[in-house]
Amino acid sequence: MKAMNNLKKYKKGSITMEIQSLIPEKFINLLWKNGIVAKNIKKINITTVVLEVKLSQYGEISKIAKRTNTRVKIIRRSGMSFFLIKLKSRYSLLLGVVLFGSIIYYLSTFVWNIEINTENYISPYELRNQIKAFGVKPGLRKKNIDVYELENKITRANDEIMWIKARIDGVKLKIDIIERQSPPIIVSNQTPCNLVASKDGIVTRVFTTEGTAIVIAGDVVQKGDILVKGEQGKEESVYPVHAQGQVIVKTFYEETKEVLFNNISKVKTGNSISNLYIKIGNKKIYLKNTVIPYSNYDKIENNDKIIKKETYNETQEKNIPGDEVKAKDEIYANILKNLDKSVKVIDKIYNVKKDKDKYIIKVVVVAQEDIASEGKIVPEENSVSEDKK
Amino acid sequence: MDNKFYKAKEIIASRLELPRDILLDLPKITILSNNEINIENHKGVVIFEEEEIKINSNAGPISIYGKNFKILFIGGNTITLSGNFKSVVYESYE
Repeated sequence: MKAMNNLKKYKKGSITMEIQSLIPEKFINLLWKNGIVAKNIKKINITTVVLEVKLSQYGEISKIAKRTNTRVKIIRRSGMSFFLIKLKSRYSLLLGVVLFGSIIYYLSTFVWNIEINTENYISPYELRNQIKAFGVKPGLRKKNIDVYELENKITRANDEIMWIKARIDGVKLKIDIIERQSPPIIVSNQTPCNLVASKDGIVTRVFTTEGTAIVIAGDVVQKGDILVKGEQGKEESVYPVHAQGQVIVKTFYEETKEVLFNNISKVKTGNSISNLYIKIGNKKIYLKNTVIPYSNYDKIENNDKIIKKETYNETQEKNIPGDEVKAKDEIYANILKNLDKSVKVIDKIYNVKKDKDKYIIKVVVVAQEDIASEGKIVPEENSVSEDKK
Repeated sequence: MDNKFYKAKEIIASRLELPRDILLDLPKITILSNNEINIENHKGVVIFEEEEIKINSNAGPISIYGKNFKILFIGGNTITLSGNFKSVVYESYE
């Protein structure tokens, strides 16, 4: 009975029930007389009627049913109330939903991620560290971050920043930066200088765009010699200039190598035998041991496992006669390897001498290259060296 | 006595042009096409069968013949029926 009284508070539920009685009309009339609203009454057969009533009136209905000997069977229920009743028995689920929502809400009040978009020169990593130094890092409450102040701090710390925007976007702190575009610095080098030889050689051609050439074709120059003087004008009115030009010079690269007539070397025959053993202390316990039938062999020990392995490879001594042609090519290739790409090879000279038991091979590469490099004008020394000439 | 009182009510109602259905508790029947009927001031359901519904009222029982009957609403002093009606009969006619 108590449970039925409790039903009165559920206003928004309705139940469809099937009633069975000898005279269902009587039951319907009784419902009507008791002020119970019934809906969608349908007759199934003589004794059975289906009708829809409100859940809050179920108590009275059951009373009437008892009085009229009517059997009531609930076949369907609908409405908000039943949902609430169900929820009541699953309050932990409801609690979970509420807890979930509140945790999500709570966590969304933090900044969890800092996204930094920069342009060319400022690295996001640097900026991240800088921001960290200001005390802004993931895991901070949103309300504790003043984006405008952060913007100011960052711009003050970095000169390269022209424009900055720091905004909190969800749980992200987004920082966009546009860098100052400084105009390119045009390097103008107009300081007076000489052109100086960077290598030894014989001058073949001289081109100058500025300055006065001292050397002419055929001169032998040494490293450090002045090739083009940083001066221009007539004798009375000489003024210093930034000497520019090319001095093409023949250069020589020389290398010598000795090659023995007979090279004795070991060659593997391909036959091999292996022994297995375990080492305990200094003692070797062989699992597989065979007498080595080879007169010459290489021994290879494999020690990385518990069971160790010795491999014997049979070898033979072979005499390889020295090959002077091959050696020549090797030397030549070696010289070329060290040359700059701008260097043009003109000629190569081989010279092979026979010694007691070896060849002495000399290779000279004749190349052509520009050896002019900028050198400072040292007034006194200049005049001295000129005097010498 | 009762009859006299009723007669007096009727006269007053007609004289003063008051709505008689309220004053005399007469059934007000509204029929919509052949499939819905609404009766106000009824006095309960007497018969509810497959092909006949009889509803009591102050003007005597009212029978509705047809099929597929369904009481859409019953409460207060209103009853609404739906179904496929064949005829509506005032049983008190002599």
